[in-house]
Amino acid sequence: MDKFLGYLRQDGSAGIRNYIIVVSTVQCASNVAIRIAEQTIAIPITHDFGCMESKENSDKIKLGLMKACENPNVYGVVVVGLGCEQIDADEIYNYVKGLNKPVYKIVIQEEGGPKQSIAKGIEYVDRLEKDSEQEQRDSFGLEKLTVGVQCGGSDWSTALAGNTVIGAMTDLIVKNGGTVLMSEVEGFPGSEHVVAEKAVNKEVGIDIINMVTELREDFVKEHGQTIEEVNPTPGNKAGGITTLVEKSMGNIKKMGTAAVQGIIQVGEKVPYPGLWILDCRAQGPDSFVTTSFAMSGAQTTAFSTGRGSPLGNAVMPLVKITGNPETYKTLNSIMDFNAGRVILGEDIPIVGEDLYRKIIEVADGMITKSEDNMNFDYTIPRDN
Amino acid sequence: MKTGLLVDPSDNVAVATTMIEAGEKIKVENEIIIVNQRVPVGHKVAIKDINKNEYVYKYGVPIGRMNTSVRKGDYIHTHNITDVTEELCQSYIADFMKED
Repeated sequence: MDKFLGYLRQDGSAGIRNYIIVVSTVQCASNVAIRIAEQTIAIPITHDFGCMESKENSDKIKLGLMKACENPNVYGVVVVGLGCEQIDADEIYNYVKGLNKPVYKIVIQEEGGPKQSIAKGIEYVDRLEKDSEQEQRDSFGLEKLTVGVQCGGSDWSTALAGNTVIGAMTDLIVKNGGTVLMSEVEGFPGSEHVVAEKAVNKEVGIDIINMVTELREDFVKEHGQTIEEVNPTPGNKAGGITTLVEKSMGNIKKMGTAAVQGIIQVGEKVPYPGLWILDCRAQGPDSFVTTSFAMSGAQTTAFSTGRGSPLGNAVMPLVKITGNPETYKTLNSIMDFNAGRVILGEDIPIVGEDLYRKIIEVADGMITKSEDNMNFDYTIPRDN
Repeated sequence: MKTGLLVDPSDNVAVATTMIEAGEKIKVENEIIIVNQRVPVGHKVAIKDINKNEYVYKYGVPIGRMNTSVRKGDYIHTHNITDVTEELCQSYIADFMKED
């Protein structure tokens, strides 16, 4: 069985990075968090919310912030609050304390203002950086590795090369005892029967059918049309996709042939390793899904993009894969892996194994393009 | 020679990995096929004769139904395939729920 080198955390998880994050609890504190990060090695996690929100959305943002701190890749945290916001800085601080992770808190109204808060934040991050340098990597089995699979910025090559190569990688991660998270459940209609047949047992199969039936019904309620009526889109058809089954099959290729163990919700961790579906239905950008993977403890995500998206994540390196050999050349600055070799005639299992090796190398510490480019997105899934 | 990508061994269509002009020969696995109409990159070409009402297979599953008969080498898209996604899903789901 293969191993990877990671940092053991107090909760038993293994980080593949020693990130330090600066988390703002409210929009009013975001600027201070960004200024601290600019002058240190820290990564900022900011958002435009945190006050005057419905409880439902406020809880979603709070969960997203807490789970960012909890991700195994995070070594330590500086929480920045204003002092009168809806999302209480103390609550985030105490949550991280409860995880036994190093954490500091700054409340702008108590520090005397932004400049004082920034100075203190820099001091805290420098202290965390020094402490984190004492940490050593240990060897772990893949039962401690969780990999998300996703695609975005797609073209004709995504389904044929990018996603099929990811599928071959999924099979190898699962075979070696690891966990793979698949989401993009809005893309399941049209192939739900194929996904259901991948289920480990009948109950899970029925769960999958019920989830897709529900989201089909919700679509009709919301838009007054069936998913079939608006899919494939004119853009899909121009790219060669004729039917919804065809479109949907391209999406689920990322799951490979492994058995689906079950469905988890946003913010939940998998109960045991294997291939799992993460039910993230928030309608929005690709980073809703990558962020929800990070919230479930994924240490990395394999992301295929035929046209080329620079997406990254604040607490998780993304391994960027393109199935388009041309894009691999023209956007090499954002690509980690060329799955376009399949288009040029190489066999999918061979390219898939190379991608699997790449994922292990990234887990061991190899810096990805998303990190090198400092694409540290974190978009917490919420309703519009 | 240009190639057509066979996604699954049981498929009856291949995918153009570059623009193919009418009359051009392409290689699909070990077979040479003459393409009858222009096929843009990412689009499908029949690798065998497919009769009206037969399924089109890609990824090893039926993705739609032919609404006319086509010959090997013909361009396959919305003009000759009927999208039967709802029908396919409903019948599969009914079977799945019935099975023990």
